[in-house]
Amino acid sequence: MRARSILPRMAAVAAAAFCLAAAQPADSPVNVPEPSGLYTGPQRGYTPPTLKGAKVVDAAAVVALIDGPDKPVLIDVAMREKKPANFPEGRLWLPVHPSIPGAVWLPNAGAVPLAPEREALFFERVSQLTGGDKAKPVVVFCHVECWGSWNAGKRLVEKGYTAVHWFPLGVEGWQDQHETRNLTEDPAWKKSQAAER
Amino acid sequence: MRPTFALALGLALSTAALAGVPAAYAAGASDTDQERAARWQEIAKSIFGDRTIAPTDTLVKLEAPKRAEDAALVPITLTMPDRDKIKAVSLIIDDNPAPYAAKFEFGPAADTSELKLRVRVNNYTDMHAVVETTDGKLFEAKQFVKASGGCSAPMGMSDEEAMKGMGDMRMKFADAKPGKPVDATLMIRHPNFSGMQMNQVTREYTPARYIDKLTVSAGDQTIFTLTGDISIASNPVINFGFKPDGKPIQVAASDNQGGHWTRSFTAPSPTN
Amino acid sequence: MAASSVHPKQGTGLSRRHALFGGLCLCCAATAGLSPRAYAEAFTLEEVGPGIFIRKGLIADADAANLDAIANIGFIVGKTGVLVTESGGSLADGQWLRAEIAKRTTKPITHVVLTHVHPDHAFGAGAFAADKPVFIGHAKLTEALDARGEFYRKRLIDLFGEEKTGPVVYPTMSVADTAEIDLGDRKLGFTAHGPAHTTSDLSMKDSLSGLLFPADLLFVERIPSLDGSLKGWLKELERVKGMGAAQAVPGHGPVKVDLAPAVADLATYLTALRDQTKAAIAKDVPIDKAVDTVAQDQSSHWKLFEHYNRRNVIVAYQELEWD
Repeated sequence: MRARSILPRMAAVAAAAFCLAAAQPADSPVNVPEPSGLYTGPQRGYTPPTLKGAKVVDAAAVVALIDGPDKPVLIDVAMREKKPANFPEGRLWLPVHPSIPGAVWLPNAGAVPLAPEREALFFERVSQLTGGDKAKPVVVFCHVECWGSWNAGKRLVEKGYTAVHWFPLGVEGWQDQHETRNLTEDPAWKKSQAAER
Repeated sequence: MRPTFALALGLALSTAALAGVPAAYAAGASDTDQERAARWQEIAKSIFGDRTIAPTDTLVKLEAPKRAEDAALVPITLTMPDRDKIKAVSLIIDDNPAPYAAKFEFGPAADTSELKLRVRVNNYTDMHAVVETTDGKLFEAKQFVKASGGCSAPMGMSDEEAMKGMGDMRMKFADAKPGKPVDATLMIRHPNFSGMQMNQVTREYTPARYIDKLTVSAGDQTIFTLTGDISIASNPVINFGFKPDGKPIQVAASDNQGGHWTRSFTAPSPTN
Repeated sequence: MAASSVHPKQGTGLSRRHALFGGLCLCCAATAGLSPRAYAEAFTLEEVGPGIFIRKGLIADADAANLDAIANIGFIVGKTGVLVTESGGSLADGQWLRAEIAKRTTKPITHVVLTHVHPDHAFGAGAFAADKPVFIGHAKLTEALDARGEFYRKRLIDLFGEEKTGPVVYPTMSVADTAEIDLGDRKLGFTAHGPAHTTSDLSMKDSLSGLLFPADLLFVERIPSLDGSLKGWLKELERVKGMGAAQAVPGHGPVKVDLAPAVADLATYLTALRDQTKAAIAKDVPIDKAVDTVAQDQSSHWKLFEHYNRRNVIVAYQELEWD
């Protein structure tokens, strides 16, 4: 267990009344507050413990969903690995993207801003994958300590999806106990890539 | 000393207790193994063409932590006891985007008994060490490593701070016994920017700047030449062995942006 | 919807994330959320010497609620003006301090000390901009702020928003070796230290009380964090011992301590860190194993030990392997 610090006595008394006992941080050890809109900072960083309108899940919960009666749509929004502009010709470059088996990879769909046609395509793809059913369970994830999936989840919540699950530990949280599958980018998403910032 | 922040975001998870694994996801299921094998075949073919690579557990041993504390600083050890048989060894980190991490080509002054290197590991992956023997044959050893995000982890400091002292070198020698090869440690200050690291403030990717070639000699006899790219950790630390002849150890390092550094070190003498 | 309970990552995973943000560790050991009222009530200023008022920082890491009020901050009232010894960890923290100063004196705030680059000691400075004080810092502070200021600022903004974070403030007076400020009835002597806790450590001594303000060269109660040079820090501690002060205001911990035993305790930790790291290097223990064992025998003496010790080992290892 982490050592508990000892607050000054006055603070402890006052703090007890405001103790945020409930929320266990999903992946971050600290309560980064939810931004009011989408998060506009760099994708890597401590994320909040919650996503309003969505359920925060861990790997076990994702497995339970997958094994359950209503199969979830698994949306991976991790960014592609960036090939350095000055990577030399002749040296091997073979990026691979392990993910949850059965997931659809829409790289960088959690970016802010997204070009309007990209955002429209994101919603269109999710609509296709859920069969137009906004109550269908959707699991959004990317990597641990990554805002991309938080933003993507928030977009879906605001679009009216009622069973959005945010899996903040992402691929890293999955692969520790479960097999991964190497995914290739969703072809429709990839085709419109020229529009990506 | 400059503060060090070349540490990955905590992307390697500690062992969480596992209550029960649903059957479909039991570790060791064949799909992932097949995927891994296929990937290795692809990489091996790219590097070694159609040459046969036979498994070995004697010619080379590859040691790496099963679960890395820090994905950007994973220490590995290559043990190759048949010193006179080894021409070169290649280290491949299968699932890294730039999987050909390093190649050591050995010269007459080399002692290959033990070689250590620090690397970046981008995802749970097999690592392969492939030795080429002097008669032109290839042999491989394999190790699985759990780590994530080593290549894209931000440095945690400005690029300028990371480049301070670039090219500075230090070499340490273990006690020399007369007539025996000497163990040495070479340390070079260099950020080895992978080109995949986003600067958290500017939101630009810091361009790749890494040591691409390193030659170490005893006098005019080569010990080894190392070629590599972005999978080598920042501030490389390399342990190697060599046969001393009393001459100074020469190091020449160059990076992909035209940086070039040379340094000479007094080696311990081969006799008492 | 309530967050379902997920095991926070424990053990090996934690230490690296702390390190990402340098001195600003975002691990929330145990702060329960503090409301603004609780925050205001939590802090009192203690008069530790004639005209010297210090607030003890929370022994915790920065989070959204505590507004990074984790360092010992305060002020000294002189005849001609007020000197702020440490400005706080955020604009909000500095504003609290400024309001407390106004309650006790109408003298102008003439000087603000920026003791080093870490955000818990630097981001309160923006609260005093209107006073147009002299901002005093180590000669190397400017380059350190160049390298990290924006980075820290963005992380704090993520935690508690732009309004409470404040700007990065640069020194207007640089101390390369020693310097002195005269407040009329007392003199403050400054010393710029070699790389130790950081590369920009500045200490101060008050002529009237004889109190030493070593800032983060002296940690008491809270585990020290190594972000400069381990050998340098041990060297600077020797210097601190020789500065002729019987008592000191440390950067973290009780607001006033007897100097000699506090320095001895800190030196014990740093020496264990140095000697055990050296031993690990000599025995070829790789860096990723050394973090598990080095200095673990010191753990009961320091709060937040598990959060910082491993990172200290990594910094120490990479420094000492160059020997």
